[in-house]
Amino acid sequence: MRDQARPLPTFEFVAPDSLTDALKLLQEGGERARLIAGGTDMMLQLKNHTVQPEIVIDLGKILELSGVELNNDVLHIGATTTLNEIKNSPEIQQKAPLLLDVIDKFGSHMLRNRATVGGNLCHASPAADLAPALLALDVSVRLQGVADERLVPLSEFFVSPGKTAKQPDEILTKIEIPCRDGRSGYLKLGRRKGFNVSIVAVAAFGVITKEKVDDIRVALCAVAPTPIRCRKAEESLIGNPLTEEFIDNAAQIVMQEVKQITDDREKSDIRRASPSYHRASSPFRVEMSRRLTRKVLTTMSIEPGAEK
Amino acid sequence: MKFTLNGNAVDIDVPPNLTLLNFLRDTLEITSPKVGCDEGECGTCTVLLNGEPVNSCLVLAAQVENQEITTLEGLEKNGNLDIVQQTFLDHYGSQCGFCTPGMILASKSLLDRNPTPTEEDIKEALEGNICRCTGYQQIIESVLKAAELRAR
Repeated sequence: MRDQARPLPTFEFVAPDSLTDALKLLQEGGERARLIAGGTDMMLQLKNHTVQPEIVIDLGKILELSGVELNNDVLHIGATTTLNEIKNSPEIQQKAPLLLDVIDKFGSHMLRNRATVGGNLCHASPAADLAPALLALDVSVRLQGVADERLVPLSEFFVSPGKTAKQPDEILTKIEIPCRDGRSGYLKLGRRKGFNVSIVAVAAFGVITKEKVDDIRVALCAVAPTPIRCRKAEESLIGNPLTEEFIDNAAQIVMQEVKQITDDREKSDIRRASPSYHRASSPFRVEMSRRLTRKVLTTMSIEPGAEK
Repeated sequence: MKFTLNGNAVDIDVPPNLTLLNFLRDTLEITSPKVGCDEGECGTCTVLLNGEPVNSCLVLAAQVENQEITTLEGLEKNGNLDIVQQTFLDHYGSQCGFCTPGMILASKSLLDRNPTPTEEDIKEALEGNICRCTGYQQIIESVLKAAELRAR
C-alpha cells in the first residue's frame, strides 16, 4: 500500500445495529471510544489527530436514530438524519421551513449527503451552521445514557468550542422541535457557497401580529465560543411592534452583546481570542452581527403574503 | 466486508482505519477517484454511495458495508460510454481531467434525480466539485447537453 497523505490513527471499528449495543460499547470504551456518523467533521479530526480514539463506533447502522417524525406538533429528527434527508422531508418543509433556508446554505450537496444534525450539534463548533436556527426554534436534544434519558434545551447544550452538556457515555438520539406558527428569517455571511464557514449567521423565529411581537428568539453563531441566543435583544422586542425603530434598537443590543464577548476574550487571551481571525476580524463580525440581525428582523416584519 | 462495487459483489477484508478513497485506490486499484484536498472541499474524490455523491475521503471504508458504491469505472456499459461521459468529451467538459471523474459522477446523479436541471440547478449540484482549470462553462454545457440527450 502506498503512503497516505494523512494516515488515520490506529483504531478498532465497530458498527452496532442497535442503540442498546452502541451505548454498551460506548460505556465499555469510555475515554478510548469515539462516535462517528456522517464523518464530515470526525474524519477531519481523525486525520488531524486532534482525536485519537482506540475504538470508533459507527452509528450509521442504527435505524432508530434516523428519520423525521411529527408527533403532537413536535418534530422529532433522529440524530443521524442527514441534512439532505431533512431538506427532503415533507414534515420539515411544512412545519419548519426555516431549516430549508439553513440547509441550502450549508456546505455542498455532497457534504449534505453525509453531514448529520446530531454531528453538527455534538461537534459544537462556534460556527455550527444549524445551531442558530435550532436555537431560534427552541429545540431540545434527547440524550440517552445506559440507564437514563434526559431532554436538554439546546440553549444549555453548548458549553465551549467542541464541548457540550453530553456526558461521554451518552448518545444524542434526536432533536425535538416544538412546532408553532410564526415567521422566521435566516442570513449567513460567508466567503463562498459550497464550502463556507460562517463569518456570522443570524436566525430568528417569532410569533408576530400586526400590533406586536408576542414571542421571539434571535440566535447567532461564529461570534462567541458557542452559538448564542441574544436574550436581551429578544426582551426588547417582545410586547412591542416590529417597526424600524425597535428593529434598529434590537440590532444595537445584539451588537453590544457580541462586542462584550469579543472584548472579554481579547482581554483574557489574545491568541485564543479569535481562533478564526483569518476569516474575519472581530470588529467586522461585531458590525455584521448588527447588520444581519437588522436585515433578518426587517424581513420578518413584512406580513406573509403582503406586497413588498 | 461485503459491498457492491460498480454492480459487482465484493467480499474483502478492510482495515478499520482507512478512508474509502484510499481503499478504492490502493487496495482495489480503482483510480478514478483522486486525492485532492483530502478534506471534503474539492470533490475530486467523489463516488456515488447508493446513487448519491459523497466525498470518499471523508468516509471510512468500513462504513460502506452492504452499500452500493459506483465510481467512474462503473459508468461504461458494454463498451459504451455513459451519455454524461460522452457529452463531457464532445463539449470539452474536461481539460486537465483531474476533477472530471467527480464532475461526471455528481452530474450523473443530478440527472438521475432531476432529468431537466436548469443552469442554477447544475451549479448547485456541482458546488462541491472544484475545477482547477476553471473550465466551468464547458462543464455546465456538457451537463445541459447530457440532459437533452437523455430526454430523447
